[in-house]
Amino acid sequence: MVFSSLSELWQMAGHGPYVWSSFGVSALVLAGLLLESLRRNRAARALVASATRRRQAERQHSSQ
Amino acid sequence: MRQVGLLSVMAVVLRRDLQSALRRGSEWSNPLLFFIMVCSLFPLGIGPERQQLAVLAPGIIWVVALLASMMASDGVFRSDYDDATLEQLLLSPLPLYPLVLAKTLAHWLVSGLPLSLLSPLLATILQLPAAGFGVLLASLLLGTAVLSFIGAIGAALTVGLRRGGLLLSLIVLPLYIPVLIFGSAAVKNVIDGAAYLPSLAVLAALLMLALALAPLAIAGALRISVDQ
Amino acid sequence: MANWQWFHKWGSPRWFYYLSGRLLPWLAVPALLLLVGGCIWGLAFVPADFKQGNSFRIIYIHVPAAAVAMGGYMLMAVAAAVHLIWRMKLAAIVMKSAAPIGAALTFLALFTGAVWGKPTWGTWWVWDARITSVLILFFLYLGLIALHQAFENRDAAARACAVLAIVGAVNIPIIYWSVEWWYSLHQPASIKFVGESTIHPTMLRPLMATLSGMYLFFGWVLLLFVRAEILERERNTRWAQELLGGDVRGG
Repeated sequence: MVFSSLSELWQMAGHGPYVWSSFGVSALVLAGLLLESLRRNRAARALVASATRRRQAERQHSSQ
Repeated sequence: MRQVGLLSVMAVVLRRDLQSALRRGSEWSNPLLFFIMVCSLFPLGIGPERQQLAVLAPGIIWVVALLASMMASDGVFRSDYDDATLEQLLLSPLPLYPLVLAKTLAHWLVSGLPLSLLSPLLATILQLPAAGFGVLLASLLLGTAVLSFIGAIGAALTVGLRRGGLLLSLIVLPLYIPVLIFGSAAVKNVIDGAAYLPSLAVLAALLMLALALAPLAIAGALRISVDQ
Repeated sequence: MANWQWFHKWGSPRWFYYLSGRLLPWLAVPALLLLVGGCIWGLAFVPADFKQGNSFRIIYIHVPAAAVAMGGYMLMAVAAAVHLIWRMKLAAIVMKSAAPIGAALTFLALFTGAVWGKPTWGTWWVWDARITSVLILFFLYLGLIALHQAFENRDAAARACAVLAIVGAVNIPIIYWSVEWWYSLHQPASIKFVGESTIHPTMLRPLMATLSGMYLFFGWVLLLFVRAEILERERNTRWAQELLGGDVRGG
């Protein structure tokens, strides 16, 4: 590490707020993208499941 | 069908569009009034100092001309879409390229051309040095033609939508940027005594590019809008 | 003929869903490793730039975000062309899914560029050629998303956006070049930014890591969005229901 301590790494000789806010917001945005894509996959799976249930109900209804 | 020359098709469409624009005067007069009114707002917002206005004038005139041309673009295909003429044109065996070219040319003749011709008046009230008038006119004549082509792409994409107006500006304005840059730069250059011909040449090149490619995009977009 | 069309209409998304499922871990793991590792490397183990100090470390997120946002637009334009020429529905899904990711990355590039500008130029925003170009790219992405949302018909939305994406891709070189020219016209030489050529190789290596990590991340998240859209569209098909464990043969 080029910094001698963690607090020096945090402060970055006065540039800390700029550097860490950049990386922080980037982490948030990238994590947000990832979570949104996972959430959509979950929602889509739920749609498939409900479509499956509907089809099974129809089958049962027609076989009775 | 072979006997119908492309030029005569273009002439028919052109004459029809020009006649309807002249009949309904608002189609060509509204963009002009918008151009004059918005340009006169700037001195009120910035202040009446001649020096300052003279510096800003090329940019102001160009930005407002661009907005006026864009607002006029919204109507290029609107009435033809509403009365199903557009559908007839697309179903006809005529090639779309000359049809679209004629419609865009008609739009430029009733929006870009009058805007350009009016620009010396606005240049006067905005204190643009007299040396810039000729190049301003030339840059607007070339530039608004490119704007008409780009605007027609946006209009063709949004003509089938109920609320197209603001959306048109969102998709079209980023594409206008090169024209704005070289148009206003030409005027600034001639005032500063620098070479202005390169900027005008770039505008002419952009016009050639738009002439070759934009009608294809417009035709494709119209098919989508009519199909849906 | 009928069979072939059936393949294009339904077979292709199914095939893609299986294939992308296999591919996901091969994108996810290196993406995370390269991004996180490259950031730690660039933040703590690279000497500070002698002109800009520590603020230059923002490059490790700014440049990858800007580059991948640009690449994402080009990918979208290619998908748009494939969709228009071959009517491939998968391409339309890829195009639609890439837009929000690209817009988010463009926003990141703008934000980190602004934050970088404060210690470097003393102001949050500079009308510098590269930042202005990224801003215009952001507008292009937003225009595409707005156009897609305005259509009620899904297929018309995809085709209209495809036309706009191709028009934008043709225009991007012209826009970038004109902004570059505009900047050279107005910029006094004294404020010229430190040239890229001064970047030391030790500073470049973490950048390569985060850059490739960002590309992989884009691919990973893009696949996830595309898979969700495929499932949503294919929810009534037998393959989708069997895949998720539903007993579709019925009782």
